[in-house]
Amino acid sequence: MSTPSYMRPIAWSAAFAFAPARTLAQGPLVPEAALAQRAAATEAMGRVSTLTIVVGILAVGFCYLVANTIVERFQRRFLVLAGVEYLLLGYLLGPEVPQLNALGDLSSLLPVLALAAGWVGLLRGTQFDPRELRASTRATWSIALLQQALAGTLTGAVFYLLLSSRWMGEMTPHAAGVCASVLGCCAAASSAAPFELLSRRYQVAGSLAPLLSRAARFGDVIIILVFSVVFAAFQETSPGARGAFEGWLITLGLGAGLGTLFATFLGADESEKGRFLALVGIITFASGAAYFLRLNSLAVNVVLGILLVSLSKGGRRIRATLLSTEKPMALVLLILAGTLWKPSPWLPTLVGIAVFIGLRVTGKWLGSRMSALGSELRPDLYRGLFAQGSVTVAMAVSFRLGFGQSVAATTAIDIAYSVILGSVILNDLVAPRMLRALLVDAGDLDRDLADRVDAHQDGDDDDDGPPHGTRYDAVGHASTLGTRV
Amino acid sequence: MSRASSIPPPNGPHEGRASRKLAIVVALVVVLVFLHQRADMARMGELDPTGMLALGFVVLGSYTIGQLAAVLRLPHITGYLLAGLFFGPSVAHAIAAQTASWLGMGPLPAPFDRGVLNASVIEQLSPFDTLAIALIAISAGGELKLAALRDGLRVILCMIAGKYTLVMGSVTVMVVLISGSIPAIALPGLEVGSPLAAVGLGIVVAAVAFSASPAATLAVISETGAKGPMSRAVLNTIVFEDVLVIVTFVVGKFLAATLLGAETESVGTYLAQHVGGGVGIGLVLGLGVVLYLRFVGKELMLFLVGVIYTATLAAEQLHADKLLMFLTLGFIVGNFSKAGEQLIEKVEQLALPTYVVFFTIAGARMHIDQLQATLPFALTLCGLRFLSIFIGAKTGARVGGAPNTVVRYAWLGFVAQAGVSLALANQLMGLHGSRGAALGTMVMGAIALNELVGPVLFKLAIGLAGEGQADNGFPVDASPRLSLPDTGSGSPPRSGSLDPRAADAGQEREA
Repeated sequence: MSTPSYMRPIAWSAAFAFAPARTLAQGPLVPEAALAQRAAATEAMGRVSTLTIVVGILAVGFCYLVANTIVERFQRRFLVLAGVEYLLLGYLLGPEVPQLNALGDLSSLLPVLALAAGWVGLLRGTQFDPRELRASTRATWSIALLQQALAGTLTGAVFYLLLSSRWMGEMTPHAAGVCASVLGCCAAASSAAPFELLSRRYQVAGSLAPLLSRAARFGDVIIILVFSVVFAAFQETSPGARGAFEGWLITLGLGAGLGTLFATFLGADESEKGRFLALVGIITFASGAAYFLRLNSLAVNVVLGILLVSLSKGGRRIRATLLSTEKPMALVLLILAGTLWKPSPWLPTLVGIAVFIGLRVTGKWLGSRMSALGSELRPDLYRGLFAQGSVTVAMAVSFRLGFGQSVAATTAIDIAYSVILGSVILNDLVAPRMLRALLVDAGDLDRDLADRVDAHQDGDDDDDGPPHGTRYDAVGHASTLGTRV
Repeated sequence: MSRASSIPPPNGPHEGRASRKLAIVVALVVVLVFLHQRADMARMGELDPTGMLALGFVVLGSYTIGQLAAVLRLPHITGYLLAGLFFGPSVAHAIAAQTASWLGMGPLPAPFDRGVLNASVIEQLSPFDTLAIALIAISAGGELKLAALRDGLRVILCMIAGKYTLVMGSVTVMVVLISGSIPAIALPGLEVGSPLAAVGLGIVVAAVAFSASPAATLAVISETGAKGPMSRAVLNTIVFEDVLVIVTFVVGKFLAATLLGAETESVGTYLAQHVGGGVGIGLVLGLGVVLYLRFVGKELMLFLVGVIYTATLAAEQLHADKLLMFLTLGFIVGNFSKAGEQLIEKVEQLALPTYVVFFTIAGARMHIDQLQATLPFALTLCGLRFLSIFIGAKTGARVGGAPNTVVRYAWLGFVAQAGVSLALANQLMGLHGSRGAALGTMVMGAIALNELVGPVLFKLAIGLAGEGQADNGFPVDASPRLSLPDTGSGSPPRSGSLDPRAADAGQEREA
């Protein structure tokens, strides 16, 4: 695939070379001392900025290379989703480790964070197109809605009680409400990433994997919209400013307005480079507008994406362009999420992670059982929806950016942020194996075949997959170039 | 390198599309003004969204204006420059405010009162410069093929010699004349004790005037899909003469400081650091990149960006010239690595975003007020430079035995100025107090004119020489690239040799 990978790095640096000078008409000219001072300041600024960029880019480059060699191999062999190494790297380079402090200037990173989060939102929105909607069934919606609603509500409610009881320190009801609501949203979210990981390794048959994958993607969109309600409800605005409902309507309206506008902008005959450039402009503009109005940029971009893919003639191409940049953007998001992390008190954090994961699993288990009532769905589908992925990280980042300073209980914010990231790491470690077990149990993946593939990969250090040209079909036969053997 | 052959030429259906987009950009202006009316909300924690909003707007606006420029048969980059100028602080301060006051209107609504791309936003976006200049230099260096150079070295050297002699001579004399020797034509702020003392400053100004723009040249070549002896000669000459520009500028600075009695460091040390350091680091990096391509060859884009920023840091610390460094890197990779094409292809992928942001910011940095203040002097400088290039390049090409198209049209390709010239002019502004500022302002004004007119003239030259892909019946990719278009089988030769016999042979093959 011709991948427009040119958006990988967000590049910052260098001197502010062409500083404006005073005109001759304005009388006396800038004295030499002032010029020299300005030049020195500019040079110093440029040097610091360049150093930040160099370290950042090198770190990203190193991680990416590692991810492409060691971690990806590890990922496939042991069936885990990578992520923790990027979070850790971000933390090491961030302001909390002053010895390195390469990405310590958070104010210069915030636009990149906002852009990466907006990118995730737009991508999720473009996956919600009419073709996908037509392919969805009642089962899709019952899985998406029930599992999410129960997991989110249960987690949010219990955490609200926990936080209100001041077990985690002094806290206002407002702060408890913000943290609990965001934790609820993050508990509800799922990710389709394990499906992609498995499909790279096995040939999965049956309708279960597409069903769950679609439910996860639709669920992501719904949860982002719910998150925007939370964002609007708890956003502290000046007295007399808009209410929560008005704020939420403006979020949807801004996304819809920009989506309609940009659908016309992006014609079907746009070149790949032109489309990519326009998408950069669109996401940047939409995210900037959202932050300008103190709205949730994830939700604005989701609505924008839905309309963009539905109204534009080149909707599928837009999605393909966005998909081709998903991996580097997710990587950037993880690293920057790591830079935002602050260590929180360990005991409440560990308890919080355990409670969060327990409640999330319970909620999803209940949701699975309920959606199976009166239908042919399996009652253990929750096993396929453990992963959390980039939407959860994007929500956590938005939470940190949006409420990190406005909410008084900063320790609670730190704990909540740590709980979310901890849960992402742990859930992403087990999610692919849980999904594989579910698919094996459902008969959509042959156990012997899976074992054979695993054995093959364990014994072959030089290759990540089956021999070139070999595919494994749904019923457990290896076939070479399409012919069963 | 791939060519998107399915893309129609930048007219016809593009016209309607560009107009439609322009209407959307106008709608975005309304959105932008509306958002800035609510500027009291515009800060969320530590995040200031003004730059983001401006960047998004400018990317969409500039891209659209670039497409409209193509409809008018102007180069895309002229559109980007105009967009930058229009949305930049100059228009906001110098024109819009005055117009509003003449019409009895109040101040323009935010952000147009300070310019969408105001100084603060430009500062936020300036990091793109590092990436853009490096990519342009690598690409230009990669296009300097040894074989083509061997064939055309004589023509290149003759054109450089012709231009150099005339530009240096005429501009130095002009600076001496306006330095106060003849009070009626003295440049305000430039009072130099004796004509001899003005010679050093004249050489510095002449070095800036001699410089041309590899970026603009590459942009126009790739946009038009030009291939042939004329466009190749222009690009090679401009890349080659960059070394001469930097050396002359340094020597001029040294002379000016000596003649004006200021303290100065040794010219040898300065040259060794800047030129030697630039070429040296470029060589080391080039070899490193060749080895990486050979033994690793993965994640080229990320690797490339990592190399660019790391090398930039190294060059800044060692005071090495970055442009020379990346030109050398590109030259090494383009000539000594079989996988060099892959790297250049990655460079090419960055073309559109790089061009749009880089040239838009360059446009926003143009100072209309400065141009107004020094217009007669800037125009004189432009005229002298234009004339010198015309005579010098034509004579040089003729003496060098260049093909007819080179003799007739190549001079038009040397008018454009951009990044390198602006960087040097900025340095000039910081020299010797009010004298440097006065000259720098004049030079900035002249560069602004050349920046706008140059790409148009070069595109015209390509058309007149019949070297554009559209002229040759090849479909043109409307999206600019950073490198010359590739030629597939059956296409004319990729490297337009400067040897007239080879060029003639090529024309015969085409015929």
